[in-house]
Amino acid sequence: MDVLHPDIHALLKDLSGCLNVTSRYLSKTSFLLNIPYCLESLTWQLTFAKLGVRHACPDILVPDTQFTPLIHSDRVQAAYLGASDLQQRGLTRLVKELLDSYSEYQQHVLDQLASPGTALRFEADTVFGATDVRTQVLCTQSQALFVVTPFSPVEWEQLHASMRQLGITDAEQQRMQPDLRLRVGFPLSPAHARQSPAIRLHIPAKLESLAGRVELPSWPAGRMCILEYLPLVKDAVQASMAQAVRVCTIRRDVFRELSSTGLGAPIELDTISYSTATFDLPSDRMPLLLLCDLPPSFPQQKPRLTLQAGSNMPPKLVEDYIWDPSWTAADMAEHVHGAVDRAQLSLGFQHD
Amino acid sequence: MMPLDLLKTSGPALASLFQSMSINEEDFDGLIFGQYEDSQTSVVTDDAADEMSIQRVARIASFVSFTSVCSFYDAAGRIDGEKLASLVVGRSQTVLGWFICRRDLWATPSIRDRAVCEALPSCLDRLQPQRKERPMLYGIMSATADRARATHSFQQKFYQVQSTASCSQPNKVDLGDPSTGLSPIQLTISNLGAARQTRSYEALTPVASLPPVHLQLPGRPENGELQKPKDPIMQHGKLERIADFSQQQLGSMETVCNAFLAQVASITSQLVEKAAMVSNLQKAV
Repeated sequence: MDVLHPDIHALLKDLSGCLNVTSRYLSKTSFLLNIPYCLESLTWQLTFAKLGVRHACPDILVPDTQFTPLIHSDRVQAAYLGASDLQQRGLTRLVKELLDSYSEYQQHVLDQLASPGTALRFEADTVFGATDVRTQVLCTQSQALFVVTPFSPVEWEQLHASMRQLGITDAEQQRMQPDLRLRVGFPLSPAHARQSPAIRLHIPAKLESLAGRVELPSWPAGRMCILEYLPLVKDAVQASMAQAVRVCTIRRDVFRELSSTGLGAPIELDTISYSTATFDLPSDRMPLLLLCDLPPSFPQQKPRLTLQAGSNMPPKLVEDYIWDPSWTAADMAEHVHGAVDRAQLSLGFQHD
Repeated sequence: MMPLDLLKTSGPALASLFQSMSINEEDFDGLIFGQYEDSQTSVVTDDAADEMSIQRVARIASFVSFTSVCSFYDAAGRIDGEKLASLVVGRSQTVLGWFICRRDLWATPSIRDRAVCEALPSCLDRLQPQRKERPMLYGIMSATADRARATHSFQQKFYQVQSTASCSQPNKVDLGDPSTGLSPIQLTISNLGAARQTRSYEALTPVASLPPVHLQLPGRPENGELQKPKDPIMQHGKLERIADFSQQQLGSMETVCNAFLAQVASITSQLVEKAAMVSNLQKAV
């Protein structure tokens, strides 16, 4: 592979940083772009007429032959004229304007595909009529995809307290808002017109790892539309987050109570998900460590306790203690502490 | 506007274009010259009345290549009337359309190409009234060379640009209607081959005309006064302009050479063919 021209490299780097576009090298002047749109990836080609910025005149090749934004949009025209301007981040601006134009074009395609009286026609009229819902649409050969952002920035702010309790910083919360999206795919073939649409909720990876999977409510065929479904999705997300906050709080409280029952402050503690902690147990013979892991299904499942004393002894699993998920954190800590005490005695360790 | 039924060109004309593509490292565009013809065929049968059919043919005589893209339009696909006029006016042949050659890409129209295809027909009609009511041609070529540049592959696709009246609506979508916008047309290549294939090239006379040469030197003083030496940045800009100009001239000369080679090839083929015909005649006698 030849070395990229520095100007072209700078333009592509900016494009990748701002719009999350990945580019694949085809030749010194041509690249394959993968552009995220509607939770899918658009494959467009980018070509530079010459190396260097002065006469580069970048151009984009789009497989969709009916998409003619330069003819109808002054903004795209202006973006094309300044596309090779490195200082003004011309290429990024061009792709952004083209994506906006592509979004309008897809709405137009949907308008032509949706016959009067169908569910698709109803969705197109209602979703694009609602001013507070951000929607993108993509018509593929088999289905019409609607991607909706369920939470408005104001509604998202109401979740800030819960997210802060889960350890998500304010900056991360801001970034997550447009990333949480609902995708509804309506089949286009008349044979499948009466089927329920395919629904998928796209959650930012960090939020999903902390709050867990969101159980979406069912979509009764013929008796539901996107605008009616959105409040149900919001409720499901909120319920899932509230549950995550509850679990996180009880985990944190269990560790706190364990410290106060006599195990002392943990020498290691996972302060984000509160899933594991290590305590240094007071002992008369040799150092004794207690590893306390809270399983993902805690408090339904009891903690996994392991005693580790020096390198010449195998780790001992402590399992023989009773457990009830409805106990308070203090009760749980007390039972864990009792079990650890018994295990210590059976191993021949004595308290100081 | 009636669509074209057939698109023809000669082997030498296409070969000269392919040669330009193989030696040019960068993308470039150009104009397609030739003529439109209508041939009428009447079929006489005993059972039915005479049937008259009209076949609309475009014959490509030459491809005039430029050194880079945006030679008669700007980066946003808007036609530069003056540049286009300087390339077209004074030519005896009709401009059938334009083409663009790219490297290592799909042979598919770009967004800018579509804008040019939209705007060019009306500009050409003003410059060459004889081509009014005729579809414009748009060709897209793609060249790929392997790592060692030992093997070159070329793709060519031609489209005819139809009525543009319907495109005034924003983002007009005609998913199933090929009569508007770009519709593909197959290119028939008439080669001057051995005598037994004489039927294939009919009455074709390939003409590869000379490309235009711009005589206006860049940076020449207009009022006759000698200019004082300017600051280094200006001088640098001037040098760049001269370099561009020289490159353009070199490109033009290259096309002249190609055209000349194409002519030689066609004459040689004709000679071979005539020799074969003579020998056939001699055998017959």
